[in-house]
Amino acid sequence: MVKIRLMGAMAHLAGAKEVNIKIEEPKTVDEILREVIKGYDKLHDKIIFVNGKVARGDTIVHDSDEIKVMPVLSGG
Amino acid sequence: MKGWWGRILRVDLTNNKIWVQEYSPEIAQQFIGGRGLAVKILWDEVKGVDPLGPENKLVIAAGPFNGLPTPSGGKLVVAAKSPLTGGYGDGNLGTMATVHLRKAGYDAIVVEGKAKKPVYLYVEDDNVSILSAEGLWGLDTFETEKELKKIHGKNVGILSIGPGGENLVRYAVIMSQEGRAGGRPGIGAVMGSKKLKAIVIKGTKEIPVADKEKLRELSKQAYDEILSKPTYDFWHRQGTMAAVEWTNENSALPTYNFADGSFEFARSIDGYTLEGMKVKQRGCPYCNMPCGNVVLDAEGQESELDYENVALLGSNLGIGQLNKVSVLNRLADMYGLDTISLGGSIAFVMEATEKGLIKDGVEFGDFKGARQLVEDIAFRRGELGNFAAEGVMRMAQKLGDDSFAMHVKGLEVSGYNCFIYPAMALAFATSSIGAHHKEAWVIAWEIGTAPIEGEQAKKVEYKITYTPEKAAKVIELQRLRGGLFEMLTACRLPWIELGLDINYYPKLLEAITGVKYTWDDLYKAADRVYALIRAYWVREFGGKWDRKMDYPPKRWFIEGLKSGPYKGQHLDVDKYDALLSEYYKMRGWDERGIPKKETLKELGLDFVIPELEKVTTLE
Repeated sequence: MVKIRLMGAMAHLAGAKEVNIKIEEPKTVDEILREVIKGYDKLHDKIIFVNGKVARGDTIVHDSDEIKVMPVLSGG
Repeated sequence: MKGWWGRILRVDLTNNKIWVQEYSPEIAQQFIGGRGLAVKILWDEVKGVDPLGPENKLVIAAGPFNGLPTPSGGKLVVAAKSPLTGGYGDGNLGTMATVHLRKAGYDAIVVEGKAKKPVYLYVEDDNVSILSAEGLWGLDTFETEKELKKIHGKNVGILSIGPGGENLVRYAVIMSQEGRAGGRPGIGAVMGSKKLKAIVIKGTKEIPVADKEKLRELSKQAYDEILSKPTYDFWHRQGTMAAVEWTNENSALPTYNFADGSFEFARSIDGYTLEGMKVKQRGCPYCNMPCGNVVLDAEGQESELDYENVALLGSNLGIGQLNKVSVLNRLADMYGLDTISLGGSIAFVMEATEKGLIKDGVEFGDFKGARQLVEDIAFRRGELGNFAAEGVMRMAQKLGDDSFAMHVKGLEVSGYNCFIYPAMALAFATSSIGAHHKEAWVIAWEIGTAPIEGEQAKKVEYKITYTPEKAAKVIELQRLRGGLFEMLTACRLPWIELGLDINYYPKLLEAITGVKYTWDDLYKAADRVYALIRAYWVREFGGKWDRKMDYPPKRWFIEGLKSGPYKGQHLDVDKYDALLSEYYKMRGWDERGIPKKETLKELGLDFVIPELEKVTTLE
């Protein structure tokens, strides 16, 4: 299972703050998040971590990995 | 000229004089408006004066976007020499006053002198009068607006001060519409020092626009694009309050006077808690993504929240109940106090109490004590109220201990704790007014672009680095956020929060003014404004100007975070210093942080050179 932790607008668009999905073979972060977050490709900015390290959309994710994704927001 | 009126309303309260000053198209094009116009006026006219004396000038400056249908273009800049920092001070607020000011036929108002008795200014197009405010003096800003609307009707724009400004609290702000505040570095106190309670404006003229059709078309596209953004709905739910969860997660939430970056009760003051309490939403003129979330506070009164208020008056004071934080926030708005500096000042008192440096102070987490202190500050009651009304820098000087004084150049730090964020610390340290985040909110970029490869231990998501790219990014953001948006004058949130295409802004500016600006032109205008603001600081501080004024608070160098995955980590002073040198080099400033002669000439600021050479040598 890939565990996905979502914050702020990401959680809103996914409809949950945490999602677990099973992947049969390694996939990129973008491929996985596209299935989970509505309108993912239209999001202007996001911060992604895989297994606690800063990652990018093309980072390869395996079945036991953990993704954390948060929006860029500035607090006014 | 199209887009600009080229007219500034001038008011001398000492001599009861009112006149209109015209300014040239060259000045309009070079400085654009808002902050640009304000610093030009202050540079030319406000030199070496006491910020709370009659010689200081209060500048209320709009930009070409104001009064016209531009995305979130309802902002107004208020500026003066700051009584908190002694340097250049400004801030912006969203208000109908900006709409009416421009429709009355002015780009700015400059108020000088001091009235003998309390007055307010009433502007109705070309008719301007100075009226008695003796019946208004002492009222809070909510009551003041109500009273003025009884006299002048609802269709006016109002700026006012509360007891904070009247009593010269050094971080008093100017307020509008029960929750819009501007002028963190004590611009409300400058207004109070002039015995000016309020400015009421009613404008009915048509603003001259170069290409009305193009403006209408571009604005419609931009407004529609904002509504279509995938993050719009969530923005509508939480607005800036979503940042509580974000900063807490990233060890950046100011907690217990910035001693820590995450708060055990963060969940109780975050955007989700806000959603359960929200009763209405307020916004600025011409904005279709309003961010003013109104709740009922613990005393049953309406309070308009955003992230900064809650971070500084909540976690930073150890208060973990949003309805109580909302009371402190509402009082700050009523009394016309800056919520950020107020939170910073109370937190300083709390830590000084904890350390035994103040007797009979206020403990962290003590809501009742904090509530009382807000009142005492606004009215400068008692020893503690008077002490805290002076702000963190002066309190620390008096106690002889600046190890926990969270300010830069005298302005209290806003809502991002930077033990592990050197770029954000640089942004605070080099901001035009002191420690304010709005000019270069670089922290998200700093986290998101941290090295992928490295020695990061598992579960530690980010590594502190001091690469030159960080200085470059701070400058890029200062050009856009502190430069372009502050000159237009527009809110940056449609772009930064929802991702509105930034190319709308030069296009809209051209439609309004008829002047084609390339990005190079806009960056140059922003660099001009930054260099002039820096020159202002150097001139006002003379021989006392020091590179160390561009350092962040000492605490970020000498202590580590108290908890979380980055526990014990802090900034390195030598590496920060090297990053600062990179910043200066990229800006064309010398090692003291003073613009070089060549830089000033390139930016068309030749007039600055002889003035600065009176106080220092230039490279």
